[in-house]
Amino acid sequence: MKQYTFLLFFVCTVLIFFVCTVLIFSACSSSDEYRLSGSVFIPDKDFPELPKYSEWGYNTFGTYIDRTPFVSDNYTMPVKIIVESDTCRIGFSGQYLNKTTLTFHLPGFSPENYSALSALNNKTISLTEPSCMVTFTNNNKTDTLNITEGLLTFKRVQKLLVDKEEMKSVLSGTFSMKTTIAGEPVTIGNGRFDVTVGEINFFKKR
Amino acid sequence: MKKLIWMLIFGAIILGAHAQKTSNFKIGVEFGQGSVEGDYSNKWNIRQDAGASLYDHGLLSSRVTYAQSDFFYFGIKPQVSLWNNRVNLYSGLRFTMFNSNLGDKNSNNFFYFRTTNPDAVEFYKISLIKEKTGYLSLPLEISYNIFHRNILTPNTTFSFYGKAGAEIGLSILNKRNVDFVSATMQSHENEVLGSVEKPNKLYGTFYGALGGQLTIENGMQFNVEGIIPSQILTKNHSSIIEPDTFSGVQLSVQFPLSMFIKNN
Repeated sequence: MKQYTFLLFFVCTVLIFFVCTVLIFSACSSSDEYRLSGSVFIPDKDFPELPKYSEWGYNTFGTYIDRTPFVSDNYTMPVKIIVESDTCRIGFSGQYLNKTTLTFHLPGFSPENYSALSALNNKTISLTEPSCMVTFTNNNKTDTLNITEGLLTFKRVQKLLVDKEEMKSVLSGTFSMKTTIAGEPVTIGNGRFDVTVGEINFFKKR
Repeated sequence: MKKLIWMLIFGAIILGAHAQKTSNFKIGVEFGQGSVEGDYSNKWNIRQDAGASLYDHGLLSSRVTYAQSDFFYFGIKPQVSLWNNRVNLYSGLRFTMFNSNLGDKNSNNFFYFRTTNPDAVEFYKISLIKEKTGYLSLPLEISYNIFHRNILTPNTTFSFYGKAGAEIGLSILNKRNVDFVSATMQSHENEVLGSVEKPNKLYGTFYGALGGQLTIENGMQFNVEGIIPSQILTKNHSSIIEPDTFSGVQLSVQFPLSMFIKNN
């Protein structure tokens, strides 16, 4: 009887230890997820309203729409990736007079998870291709942009590792285009992004 | 800097020659401690995930890390008194130890250190980077008694003085450690430390102090002084902190040489 009590005590201790360890490690992971989703805004030397181009996963993007900056902020998730049937939508959200989202629709690209975004590494996409679509959401109104010229370049797509463990993907690149917004021709120029994509901002609709 | 040191040495020799009596010479010991004010060195690749601009500075910085550097020193301190003890010259040999830490500021207990990996953005979670640097230096100091009064007995005096000094030294010890959050990452310590060069071997300071001096009947002197915010002249004396100023306190006890050598 005494032996069974001891065995029960031993098993309980091991279980409690195991549960505590799992809790601590899961807390660490969510803490990483939270901290690595934060933005680090380093102003560009030449265009101080825009973030400097970087490839470190600083969760920023910025562009000029004519002369007005459209940049990521500290409160809005700067990027969300939504994969639906065979299209991957990359939406950059930030402030342009008010909350605005610029979404690139990439048909024929359907990554299984955020790690598979590495297929975009060193890829340049012509935004004038008929298959490619760009939408602009402002004041809860979404317009499909008619692009006369434009390029989206993924200069680097890298893994983000923390203590040798893969946490996210880092997408860094540039974009520019000429289009029409509310009937007025505009230039979206000097666009740059350095964003992380992980479990919290990658969505695949099954 | 060079000119100043030569002037002080030359002055010490000339003025020392005027100090004819053994009682004008004293030898003593000094102890001091203080801190270095400044910001952390940008050489460390730390992810500033505070959502703030990187260009703020100092104590009010909103960056995720802090750098803190304290020092203590001790040494032997020969002294020569001139002009009726109004002016004192000091030199000697001093050992100074700097303890510097680079740590997380926002109670997260760690920061992300970015390492060089050409294929990925890679971070290590680090709770603390520590550095100990020891210097052996030659100080040269001159003090002037602003206020001088006999207290209690005719041969017990209290003085209030101002002091200026400079020192030049060489590093004799440097040790750096990294505390990783995960113990399994400890094997990457050299990789982290290797990314930032070790501090400069040469060390020089220029400083000022205000202090009080009690001289008792047998000629023994007790000094307490506060080092006013002063300058570290050499660059890169620490790989952790970019110093603005340093300050601290010093205690010293001086014994007249006549206590050891009899005057004929």
